[in-house]
Amino acid sequence: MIRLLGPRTLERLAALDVGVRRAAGGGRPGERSSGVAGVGTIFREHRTYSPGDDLRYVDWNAYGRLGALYVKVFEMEENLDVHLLVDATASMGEGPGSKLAAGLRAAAMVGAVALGRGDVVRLGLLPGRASTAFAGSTATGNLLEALRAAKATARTPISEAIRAAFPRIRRRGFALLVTDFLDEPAAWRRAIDYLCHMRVELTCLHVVSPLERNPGDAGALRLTDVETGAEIDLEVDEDLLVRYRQRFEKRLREVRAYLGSKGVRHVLLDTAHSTEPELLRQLLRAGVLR
Amino acid sequence: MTFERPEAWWLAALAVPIVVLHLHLRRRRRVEVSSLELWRGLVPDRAGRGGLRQVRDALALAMLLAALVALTASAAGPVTGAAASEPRRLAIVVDRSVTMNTRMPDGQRRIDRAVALAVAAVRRLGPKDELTVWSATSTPFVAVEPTTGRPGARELAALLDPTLEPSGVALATRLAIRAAPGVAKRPATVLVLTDPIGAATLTASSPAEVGVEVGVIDADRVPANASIIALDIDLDDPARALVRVAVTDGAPSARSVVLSRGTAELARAVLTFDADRRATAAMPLGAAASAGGLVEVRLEPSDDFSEDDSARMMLPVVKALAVAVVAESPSPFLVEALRAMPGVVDPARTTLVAPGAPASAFDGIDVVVADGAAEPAGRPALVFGGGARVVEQPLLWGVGSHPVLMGVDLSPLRIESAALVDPAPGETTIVSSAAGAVGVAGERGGVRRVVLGFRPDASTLPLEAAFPLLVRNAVRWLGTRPEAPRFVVAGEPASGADGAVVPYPAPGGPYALLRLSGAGTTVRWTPPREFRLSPLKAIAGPSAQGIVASLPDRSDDVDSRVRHAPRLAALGAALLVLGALLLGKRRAAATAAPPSTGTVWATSTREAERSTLP
Repeated sequence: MIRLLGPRTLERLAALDVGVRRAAGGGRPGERSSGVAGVGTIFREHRTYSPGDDLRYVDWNAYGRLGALYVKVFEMEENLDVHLLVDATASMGEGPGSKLAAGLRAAAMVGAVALGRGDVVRLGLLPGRASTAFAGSTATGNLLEALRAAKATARTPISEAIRAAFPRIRRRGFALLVTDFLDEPAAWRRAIDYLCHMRVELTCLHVVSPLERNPGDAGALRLTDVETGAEIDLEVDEDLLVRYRQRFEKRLREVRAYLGSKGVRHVLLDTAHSTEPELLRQLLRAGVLR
Repeated sequence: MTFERPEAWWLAALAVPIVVLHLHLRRRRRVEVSSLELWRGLVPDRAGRGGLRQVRDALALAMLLAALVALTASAAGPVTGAAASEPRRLAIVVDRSVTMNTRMPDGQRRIDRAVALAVAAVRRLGPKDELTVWSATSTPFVAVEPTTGRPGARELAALLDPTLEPSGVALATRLAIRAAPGVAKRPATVLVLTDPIGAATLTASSPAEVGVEVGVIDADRVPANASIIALDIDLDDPARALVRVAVTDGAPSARSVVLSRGTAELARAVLTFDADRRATAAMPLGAAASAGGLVEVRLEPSDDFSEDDSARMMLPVVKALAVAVVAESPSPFLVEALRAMPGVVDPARTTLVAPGAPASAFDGIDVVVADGAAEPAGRPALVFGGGARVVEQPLLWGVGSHPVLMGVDLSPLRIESAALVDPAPGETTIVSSAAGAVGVAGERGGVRRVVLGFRPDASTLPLEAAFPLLVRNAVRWLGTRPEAPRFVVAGEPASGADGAVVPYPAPGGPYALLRLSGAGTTVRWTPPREFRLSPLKAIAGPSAQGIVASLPDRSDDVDSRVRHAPRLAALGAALLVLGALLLGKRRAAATAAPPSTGTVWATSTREAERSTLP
């Protein structure tokens, strides 16, 4: 069982918030400004009194100084729907140190922060059934338990997995997609397009492993795709590795460019730096948490 | 090509695990990757098929197998050429006895031929063979200790010089056979080089591991030889020498004897052999009879064995002695006896001296005869009537073989009384009775003395023929210097030398003059009885040359083996290094980190998690 977050990390996360850039739209009362006037505690503006306004909102102090009636207008406070979409296909690996572990830890951090702020966390382990919702700070343990129970499964195109887990997102919210983008480019592009269509504020956590990014000279190998089981025989030499690295970097640039074009935040997470302090530091630097 | 350790070829079985290991390593390693999507399209047209790798692997396997073959062959010890056979031992017994001095028709002596054949036999030895040379004389000994060295002809000739000793070849052969195998019990051959006389003494018995080869020299002929078997003064006429000659081998031939003194020929006689193949010649000594000196008799012409063709003897110097008789009234028999030996006693210088006369009365006197009176001191004296305690009518007998008693028989002697004489130090008893010594002779204080305990007139001695002999012997013994024998015979005890055996002279001399009793004499080699140079019955069998020629020639029996193990080991090591280099390159490639899904490096990650949070 992977230990995702320790007590000190949880203590540290309690003081943070999810770095959303837009107003919350959870639809339920919460602590976040929804940008909509209504019943709340956040003062927004003064408005000239009109008959029928609730006298409880008349600013009597202003009337004393100015001799005119003004009413105070407040913003409505709502919670945030935080969608955690974790790619748990076979390519993410399994066990401590895997890309899946790093992604689960990052998702746990974001989820724990969100639950601590009263948000609703919807967890979808891809591929899998419909997402599971967690609400309230007391649900942090359940969330961590669900994340720890995640296991890498067989290959499923990520776009289809997302559609299956999140057939419809009713409210605007924050979505964290954790994946390695090792699908066919068309597949992960469709997934990004789908999530953007759902009007969620999407952040992609792109998990890579050091050896995947920079494999060594391996000689005569028979490479097996862990998801499809397909095999190819290779005489891996330095030249081939150079070309592989170039291709990998090119893929990174493609992902980053496509996400940028969609206004999606792209966070590259190297599993070589996926300890709790390092991961938290990366999330803070990227603005995913604040 | 042969192999010293053929069992090492079992090491070649290591090829099986090597091939199995090679096939095991040659297969591709399976590596799981997250996705093949990035790898597809990177595969080159040909390089990815591993052609170079296959060639490299095959080359590495071939080198390893070749290295294994080379190292295995090296361990098996390949050898070309032939090994030397097992070293043998050769014991050469060379007969050095007297008969080996016989000259053969080519002028060589038998011993010379034996040495030459021994040298030839030595040359046929292998480099590792051991050689022993036995000297077969009357007392055999090892002339050359067991050695792998090879004595040369000169060295052997010096060690095996001829002698006049009797043959000891039988004993030497037995000793050589017993010692031939040595401690290592090696196969051995005993080569006996002897003449027919020595061969006749050999018995054919030897252990199985020792081969005995008897090379008989000069076996196919009968040499001619006549020996001087005796030479001495004629007892009937001391002025003559008697020479006896016997034909030992071959038919009698016309021979002469020549008597000479120094370079002067004294006499010559032609020999006439009788039916016993013997001849005797009486040859006048002339002046040499009294003047003394060394005379030599020589057979002419010489024959095949020259050592017995000459004989020598030392003649004594003969002179008449001046005798003084000390007596109140000397026995007339004594006086007559002195007068009757002109060759011994000079009558003109014989005097009668009264008892108690001064010492000057004995000037020029050689011997004093005291008859019932005291003899003067410091003079050789024959004393009658000496002694103290008187024995009545004793029976007397002579003791020993003292020169004084030579030819004297005392048994018929009748005597009224005699005095017992106690021998002083240096004196011996020559006449004894039941009561004790009656006559002594000896030397005391450098002066000889003969004391008899009775007077001639008191006995029947003057009436016996022995009386003048006794007087003559006594006067001669007293008046002359200690006389050396005319000759001594080599190999026999010398009289007056405490029984010491006279050593054999070298063949051909010098016949050293021995100092016996203060005088010199000559050594004579006398042929023993039945002396022959060839046996009566001819010896059958191959000649000595044939025997030596039949010995295996092992001189080129050297170890010509060339061992190829070091070179093969070096080749194997080089191939092993090359193969290891190729394998090492492949191994480095195989052990490098493969493409991974990133699941194998968790440990460091877990450790880092314990660090402090930011």
